Amino acid sequence: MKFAQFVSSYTTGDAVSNSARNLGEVLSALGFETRIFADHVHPGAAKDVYLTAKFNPHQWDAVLYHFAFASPIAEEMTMWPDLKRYILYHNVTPSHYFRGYDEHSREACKNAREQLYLLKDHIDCAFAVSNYNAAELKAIGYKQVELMPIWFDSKLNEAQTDERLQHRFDDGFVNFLFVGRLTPHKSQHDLLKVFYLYKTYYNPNSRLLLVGSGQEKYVSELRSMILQLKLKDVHITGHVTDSQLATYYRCANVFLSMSEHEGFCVPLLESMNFGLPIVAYDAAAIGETLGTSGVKLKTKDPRLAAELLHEILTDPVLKTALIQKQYERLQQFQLEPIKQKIIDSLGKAGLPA
Amino acid sequence: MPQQSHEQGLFFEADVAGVDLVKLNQQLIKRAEGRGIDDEVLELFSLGTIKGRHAAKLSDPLAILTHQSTLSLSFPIRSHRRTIGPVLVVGKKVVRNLLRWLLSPILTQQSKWNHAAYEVHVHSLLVLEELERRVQELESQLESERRP
Repeated sequence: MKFAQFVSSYTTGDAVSNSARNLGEVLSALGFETRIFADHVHPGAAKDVYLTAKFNPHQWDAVLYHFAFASPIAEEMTMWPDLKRYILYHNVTPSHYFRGYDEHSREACKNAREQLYLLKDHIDCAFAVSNYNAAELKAIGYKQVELMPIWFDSKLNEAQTDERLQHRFDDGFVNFLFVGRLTPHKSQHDLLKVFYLYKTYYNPNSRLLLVGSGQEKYVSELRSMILQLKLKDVHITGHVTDSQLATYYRCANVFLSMSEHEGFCVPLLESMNFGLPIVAYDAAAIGETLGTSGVKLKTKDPRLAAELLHEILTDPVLKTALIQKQYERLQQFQLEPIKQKIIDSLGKAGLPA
Repeated sequence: MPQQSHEQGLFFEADVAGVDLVKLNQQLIKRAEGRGIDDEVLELFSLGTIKGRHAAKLSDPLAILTHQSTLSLSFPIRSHRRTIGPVLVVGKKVVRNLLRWLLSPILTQQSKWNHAAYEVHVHSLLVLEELERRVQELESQLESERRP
């Protein structure tokens, strides 16, 4: 069976693009002939990804669209004849988070929600990467929704350490890490609050590493906050390579998240893998991905978060127990246990592997 | 101290063998209270920390300043020409690599200057807004004193 996957934009270090690539490998192993198409392909991201313009619906039996953003694909899908249509829902950021920061993204997220409504009557089956996302789809009115979780991609383990970065950051300081785009819904401003208190009241030899590229206006506000607070040792890295990302994980002491909206949150799995205790605000799909592992914050109060971080960093028994529990959780996201779920979900969706 | 709107007063959850979660929560809340961090400190924090009419006007150019202050030679080189495009791309890459020794130090120097300029702008803006706020306060104080 010929199975085409679509993503809005294919780029390196992007969770949706990685998901399409990984799913492609599994589908191939299950005997499907598969290919990825994208509206935009970042130069050098992948040679075997094709532009959507080159897609001919008559040559394919089934299409799966990785839904995370507005794209013309959503509307085109409704017009393609005689093929099975699926979406894999990674979630769409609520548009209000972009108000005053990025009108283009706000409009795109609004359009994406409208497209999600539009597609519900044209889709054979919807897949979701988390129960949180599945619940959203059911609430919208999707009749058949199956779970297709993301699995942990161990390729990052193989990435070499960037020695220059390691020399700079592996220096005895306590490094707090967050990985994700710098956007209002990821709430890096709340991380600054926690870090300010931790550095001021607990440990001046600490550092905050904010890994990821971001929206200009939001980043500008973060920098203004940093200057106003005279806060040192905050590093905003911009886009990083796999080698740099792996190095940041290896140098970090705690993964700290205050994000308010995540459809899954792949960096949690990466942190589990690199043995970082996770402290995360329990919002959206965060609690589901963590399961019973990690520390789930029920409040954003920076005073309590800073106190908790201090406790974890000064109590080796607690820290080790957290890391151990996270390793156990990570096993549930390995390919083998997930693969069977994918086969089951495909079967229920009329795609027997 | 922080509002505890959660059942049992838990501000975090973790499933760790041998740890009494309720007790640890209470201990940490008590310890955090003992740090003497008052609410005023937290009022420093908010998005859009620079507030005022000048900051509102300047937020877009400031965003450009911060985002484009680091100059780099690592930009993508492309060509839309169908046949000679690949040759042009290779040619441009060769030129870039040949000139790297010359351009890199200049770009580093310029980036440092840009970062410093951004800091100066933000600092000046903060001072300006604070002065305006203070002037307004004094004006209204004066106004109220003049009233019979």
